[in-house]
Amino acid sequence: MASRFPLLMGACLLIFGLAVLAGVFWGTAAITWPERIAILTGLGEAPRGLTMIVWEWRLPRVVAVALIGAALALAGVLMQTALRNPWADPYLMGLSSGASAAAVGAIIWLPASITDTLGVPVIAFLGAALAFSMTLGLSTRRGRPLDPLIVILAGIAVSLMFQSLTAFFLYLGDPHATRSALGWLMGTAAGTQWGEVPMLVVGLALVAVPALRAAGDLDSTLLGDERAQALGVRTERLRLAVFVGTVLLTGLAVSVAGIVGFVGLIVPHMARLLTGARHRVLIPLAMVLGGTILVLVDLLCRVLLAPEELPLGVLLALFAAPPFIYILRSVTRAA
Amino acid sequence: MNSRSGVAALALPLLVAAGLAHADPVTVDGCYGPYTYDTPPTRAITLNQQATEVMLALGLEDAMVGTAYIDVAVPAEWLDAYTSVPVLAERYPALEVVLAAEPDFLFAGFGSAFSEDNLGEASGWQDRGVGTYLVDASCRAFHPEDTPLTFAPILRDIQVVGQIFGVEDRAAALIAETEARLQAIQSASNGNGQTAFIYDSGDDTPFSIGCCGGPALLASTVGLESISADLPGQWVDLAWERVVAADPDVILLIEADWSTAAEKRAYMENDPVLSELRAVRDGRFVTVPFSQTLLGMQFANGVETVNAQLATLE
Repeated sequence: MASRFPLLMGACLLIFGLAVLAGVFWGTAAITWPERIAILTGLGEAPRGLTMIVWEWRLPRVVAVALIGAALALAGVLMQTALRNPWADPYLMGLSSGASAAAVGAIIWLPASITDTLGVPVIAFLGAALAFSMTLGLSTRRGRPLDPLIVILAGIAVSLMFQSLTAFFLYLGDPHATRSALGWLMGTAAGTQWGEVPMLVVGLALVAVPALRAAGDLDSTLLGDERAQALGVRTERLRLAVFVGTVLLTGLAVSVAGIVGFVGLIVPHMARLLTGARHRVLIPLAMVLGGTILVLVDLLCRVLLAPEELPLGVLLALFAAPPFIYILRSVTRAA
Repeated sequence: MNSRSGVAALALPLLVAAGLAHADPVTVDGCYGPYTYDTPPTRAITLNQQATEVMLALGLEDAMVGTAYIDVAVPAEWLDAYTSVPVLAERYPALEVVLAAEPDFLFAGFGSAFSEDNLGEASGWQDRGVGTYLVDASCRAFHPEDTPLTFAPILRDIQVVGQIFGVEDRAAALIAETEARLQAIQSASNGNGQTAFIYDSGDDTPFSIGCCGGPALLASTVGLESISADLPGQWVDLAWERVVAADPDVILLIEADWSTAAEKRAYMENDPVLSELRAVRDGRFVTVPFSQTLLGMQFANGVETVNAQLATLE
């Protein structure tokens, strides 16, 4: 498997690069090939408006979407390993529901002065952190270890609570204001600017680098807590680190693009099918796959109904269904 | 007058100017089928701004027992009349509140008033002897989403409500006045075919207009060409790239409590790409209140406001 990995990774990186180029080249505004070359290389004449569209809108959007896809795929890999559960996904922890409830509540209830100074992303992040600590609080009991199944059940309970809160906010809110709130719930990368990219890069690096370093420990965790502990892995500490990393990645993703589902659940399984479960190769591959898929889905959202835009959630749900069914079948066969 | 106006023609010559009365039953063929009024309603409830303002403009506040769902303050000229009528709810009232008011006529501005989770089906009310009427422009059956609106629905509402309440003379005067104002602008429009981006709300993607709604009619009346007039529907979630590619001559901002014109202008001026648009650089913005873009009593005001602002841009 390891010998095949460089080739596989190279091919995936190539596809990723092509996806990014496609994301920059196509969009609502029509750009000719000579103009595309001129805009990207700076050689030759290109209309100023189109140059600005590519450099100030499309590029930061594509970069941000790639980082979000990578972040969610990484979060999914880590959660599935830490909980040894093929269905684990950052969203099961209630993080996205908490983030969206906070964002929707802020958009509808808080005066614009507060949301502007604090920023909806920060509020969403706080919501994710609150939901996360509630899930953890519900699933731990004075020093007793976190039972993976309890964590997921607690996550579902917290999700349901925040979802009903969101529905309540939407129901009470000004019907005209709910449109912008819906963008949060359905997920969209529209309006992403360069300013949002650095925090995604830093956040992703902060989790990805330690995760790669701990690849061996993560592999051992798959054998079960007792065997991992026998191999010298401090499972509780590792699991806590995974949870903190996951809330960071999910919070960042939600704060930039709203709720983006399915990537965290599906992409790790796709990567495992391609390269196996060893984290040293699984983590980089899952991140590249996640980035590629989200860049392509975002591109489709922009061009399918142009000049109107589709939310990410609509197409993701559509594309996630076939692999979802495939995973379901393989999991039930294995059981 | 089109065939839908369907008011029993027989009744017209027999009308006596004796306050609110009609000598013979009046049959109205509204959005929810025909309904016959033996006498003018005396306990009307209006829902949504446009419906309420039709009643007030015709001086029918004494025949009203409640209003509900007003978006913005009622214009000063009708404010006294408006305050004399109880407000049943900030939005759609609960069914029990409506029943308790014992209405004999329900008049709504949007079809959502008669949805299952609000007041319930209009036909059900009519079976119970309560007349219903929906603002003509909001009736999907009469005006499919992809057919451009005209002024006719505004005038038809005045005419039909005038007939139901037996105030045809007031209605005729109001129709003549409204028609004259709209035609005056049409023949002296200041848009001169300039392209315009109509900006309602939103920032990640701008919520704008398609071919066929009230704001689209307003834009075409003042001689502006919407950059999204080729899109189906009344409202669309546009991509900003379309706006940059079109580089419009004028930007029409819709002013509303939930999305102010100043906020939208500031957003465009602060975006690195949008701030480069000709209209943004040269400050070629015009503003119209949301309530004046609905096909109702305030529409003529909206047309006049925008047309006057366009003149100052020249």
